[in-house]
Amino acid sequence: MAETNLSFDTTGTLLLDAPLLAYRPALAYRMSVERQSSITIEAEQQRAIVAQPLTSLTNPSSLTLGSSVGALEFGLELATASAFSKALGDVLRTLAIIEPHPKPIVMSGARYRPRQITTSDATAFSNIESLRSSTEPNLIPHLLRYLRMLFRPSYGTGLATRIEQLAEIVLEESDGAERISGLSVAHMIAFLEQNPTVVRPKLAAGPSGEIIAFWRRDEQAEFSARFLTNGTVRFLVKSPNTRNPSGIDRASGETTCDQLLQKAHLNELDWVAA
Amino acid sequence: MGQPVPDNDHVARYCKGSDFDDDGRCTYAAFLLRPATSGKVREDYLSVFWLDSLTRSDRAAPIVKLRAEVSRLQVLNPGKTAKYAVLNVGRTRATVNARCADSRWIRITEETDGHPYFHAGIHDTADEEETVAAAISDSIVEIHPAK
Repeated sequence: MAETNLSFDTTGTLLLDAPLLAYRPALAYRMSVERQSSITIEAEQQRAIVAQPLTSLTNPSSLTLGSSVGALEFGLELATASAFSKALGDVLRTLAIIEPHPKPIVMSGARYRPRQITTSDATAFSNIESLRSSTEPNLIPHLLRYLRMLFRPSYGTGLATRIEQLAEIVLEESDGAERISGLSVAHMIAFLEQNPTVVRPKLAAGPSGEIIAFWRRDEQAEFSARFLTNGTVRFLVKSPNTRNPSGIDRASGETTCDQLLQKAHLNELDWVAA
Repeated sequence: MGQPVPDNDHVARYCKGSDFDDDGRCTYAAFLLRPATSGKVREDYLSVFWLDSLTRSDRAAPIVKLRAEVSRLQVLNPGKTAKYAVLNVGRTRATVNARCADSRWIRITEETDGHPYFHAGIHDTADEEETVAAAISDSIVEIHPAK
């Protein structure tokens, strides 16, 4: 029997980390923290919980999951829905991390059937895109709360305030039609949290509401990273040429947020990674 | 697409408040093409306003006239923090040419597709988009409030 662990992502969303049977977006039932439950946990408590294997589940083999981009949500296929959800709920309540949602998801005894996103020629990927865009707006409050309460670097509160400010500007300028991308913000937060030596960036928003982060030393030294919603990061580096004082070196690239530090050689830029 | 805007002329890009960073600096976000989203088509070029088609007098006058014309023709409703970034056509084209690996000469042309008479477009920015956008933002000569 495979071991299953509890963990939390940067948004505070609960993750059930089990071996992926497959990436099964058509079956993925996305539950945001907001829909599923409210989480009120402190950092220490979270760390303690994460360390515990979830061995008391009665039937872990009935759990399959699709941990999608950024692990912002998880998918459940419940073969024995009612028994399993009760067992899972018991464990989580025992750990005192989840309060019952006022409107819990009601499951019949029948096999769980995922909702249909489209009835056309939708592919698994287009379904996931639809789900992403439909659930994105809910992420921002979680991300801001995470930055203010759990984010490890000391500038979490200031960063949250700036993101909030950008979100208001984007909303106002589009008359409510556009929003800051929660996925993009989550990717940036994940990058900053994984790399605590990186100093606080300045922020702007791109045309899709994606976050573009800037680190600037002076007119000759700047690094920028555009965090796209799919987890890709496009970066630009401008730095003085060490052998030619009047020269400026420029480089650009594309990678994922977990590889950005290495691929962009940020440890060599002391105004980015101190 | 109409005639090319002469290199000596100036164009102004409408920049949203979210294009500026924490320090109020105009970033390359202002020069990225809008992708297709629900209800909106993908931009083929960057829309700008051709200042010299409004008036040939000093630099400040076209911005005043631009604000008036944008309001009169209801081209857009400027946000509180929005600004116009003024570009010199020749300088911007040369900066992009120097920065891009393919040494391209972007085209800045009059646009006659039903937009106001002072509408122009910056073309050829899609490849190496961030590099081109950063080059354009580095070539900004002036910034003015949009309201």
